[in-house]
Amino acid sequence: MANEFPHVQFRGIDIGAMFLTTLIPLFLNSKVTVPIATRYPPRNVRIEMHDANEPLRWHDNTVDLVHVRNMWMAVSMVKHSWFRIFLLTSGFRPETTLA
Amino acid sequence: MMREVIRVLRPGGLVICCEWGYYAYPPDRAPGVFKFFDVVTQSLGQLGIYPVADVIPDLLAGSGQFDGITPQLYYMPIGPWRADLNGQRIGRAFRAACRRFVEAVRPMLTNAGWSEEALYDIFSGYLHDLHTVSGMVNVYHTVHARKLAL
Repeated sequence: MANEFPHVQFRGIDIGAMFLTTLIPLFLNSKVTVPIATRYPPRNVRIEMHDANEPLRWHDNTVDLVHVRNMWMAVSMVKHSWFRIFLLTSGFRPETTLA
Repeated sequence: MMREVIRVLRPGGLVICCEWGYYAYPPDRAPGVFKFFDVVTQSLGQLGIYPVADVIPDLLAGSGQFDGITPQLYYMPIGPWRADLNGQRIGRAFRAACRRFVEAVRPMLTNAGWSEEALYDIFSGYLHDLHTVSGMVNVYHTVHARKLAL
C-alpha cells in the first residue's frame, strides 16, 4: 500500500516492545523476536516500537486513517479501568467464551 | 487505546479494526479445541486480558465520536473441508497457523502453572480436533467507522 500511495506518509507502532515491558510475565520463557516489523520499510513508512497501552506521540486531529489489527492479546484492561467499566456495564462476562 | 485513536484521528477520519474472535464450539463436537481455548481464555483473564473483538463496535458507538459504524464477520475455514479449491487452500494455510499458535501460547500457559504433562494432553486434543473435525471456522471481526466532522 505504501508503494501504491507514495504521497502518503505511513506511521506504525510495533507492539513488540511491550512484550518486553508490559507483558513479560506472559512470555517469560518465550523467544520473542523484536521488532516484529521489517527493518527495511519503504521510504514513506516509519514503524516505531511502542506500548499500545500508552499514549501515542502524534498531535490531535492529524491522522486520516487508523488501522488497528490483532490487538487482542496486547491491550490489558487492568491498565484501562474505564474500558473495564465499559465491558462490565455492556453485559460482557470475561469468563464467557465468545464466537 | 481507543481514547488515543479518537484523539489523533482528524474529523472525518476513518478507523478500521480487525480482530480474531475466540472459538466457540460445542464441547461434545470438538472437545480438544474447546478445552484448549478455555485454558487460554482463563490464563489471559488472570492477566486482565479479555476477548474484545465483538464489543469494539459498541465501544465505538459508546464513545459518541463516530458515525457509519459498520461491523462485519468473516468465517475462516480450519482445514480443507470447503468444497471449492480456494477455500481448501485457505483452510490448509489457516490450520497451519492454528498449529503454530500452540507454541505461541505455551510459555504463557507454563507460567500460569500448567505442567508439561497437562499441556501435552491439552495440545494433543486440540491438534487432534484440528485434523479430524470437519466444518470448523474461526471468526474474523472487522469494523470501520468515521470520526464525526466538527
